[in-house]
Amino acid sequence: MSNLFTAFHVSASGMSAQRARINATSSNIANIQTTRGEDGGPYRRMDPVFETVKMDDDVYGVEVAEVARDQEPGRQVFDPGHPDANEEGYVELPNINLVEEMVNMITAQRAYEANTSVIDSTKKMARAALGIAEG
Amino acid sequence: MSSSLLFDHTLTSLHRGLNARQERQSIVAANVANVDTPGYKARALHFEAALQRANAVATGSGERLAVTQEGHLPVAGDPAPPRTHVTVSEADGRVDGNNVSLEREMATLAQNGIEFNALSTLTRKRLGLMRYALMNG
Repeated sequence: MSNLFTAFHVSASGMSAQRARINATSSNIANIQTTRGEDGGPYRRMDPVFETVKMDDDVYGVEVAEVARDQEPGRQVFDPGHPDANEEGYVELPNINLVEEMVNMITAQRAYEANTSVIDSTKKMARAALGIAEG
Repeated sequence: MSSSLLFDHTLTSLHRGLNARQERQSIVAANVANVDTPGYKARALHFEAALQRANAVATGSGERLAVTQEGHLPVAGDPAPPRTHVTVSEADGRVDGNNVSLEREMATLAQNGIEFNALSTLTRKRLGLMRYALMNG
C-alpha cells in the first residue's frame, strides 16, 4: 500500500521530468542560430520523451526515457558570406520555432508548479498526522 | 483491527479513513506527475462504498456473521478491512492518449487534504478524550 512518502517521491519524479523539459527548451532557445552542433551539422532540437515508472501498485511516477533529437531539415537562409553556407549560398539553421518553445516552457512551468502544490498538500497531511500524537 | 474498550469502532473507522486518504494522495500525485506522459490514463481511488459497508458491519446495522450453531461466538465487528480499488479513466483525452485533467486532480487534492485534516483532528480529539478519562478518573 502506498503511503505519504510514496506521494512525495512521485511528485519529485514529476518535478525532475518537468525540469528536464525546461532544460531542453532553454537549450533549444539558446541554440536557435547554432550552425555547428555535435554532429557537425546545425543544432538539432531536443525533445525529452516521458515514460511512466512504477512506484507502487497503481502508482506511477515519471522519468525521462530519452532526449530525442529532431531530425527534420532546418531552415534554409540565404547568406553567402556565412562560413557554413553551402555552394548555393544557403545556410542551414536549426529547426526551432520560438513560439513552440515558449509554449513548451510555460506548460512545463505550470506542470512543475502543480507538482509542488501536491508536495505542499502532502506535507500538510504528514504534519496533521504527526499532530495526532500531540493530543 | 478487532474492537475493544479502548480501540472502538470510532477509532477503527478514523484509522481506515486516514489510510484511504493517504492512498488517494499517492494516486493524485501520480496523475499530476504524469500530466505530460503520452498514453498515461488518469487513475482514481474508490473506497467510500466499501468503507460504508464495513462501518455498517462494524456497528451492527449491516450484514454480520451468522451464528448458526450453539458453539459459535457472536462476531460484531469487521471480518475483513474494506478494500479500496483503483479505476483507470476511459475518458477521451488529448491526441497523445493522455487524459489527465489537471483541474480535476487539483480539486481532488484539495478535498483529500481537507478530509485528511478533519480525520486527523477527530482522531486527536478522540484520543484526547481517552487521555482525559485516564488522567482524571
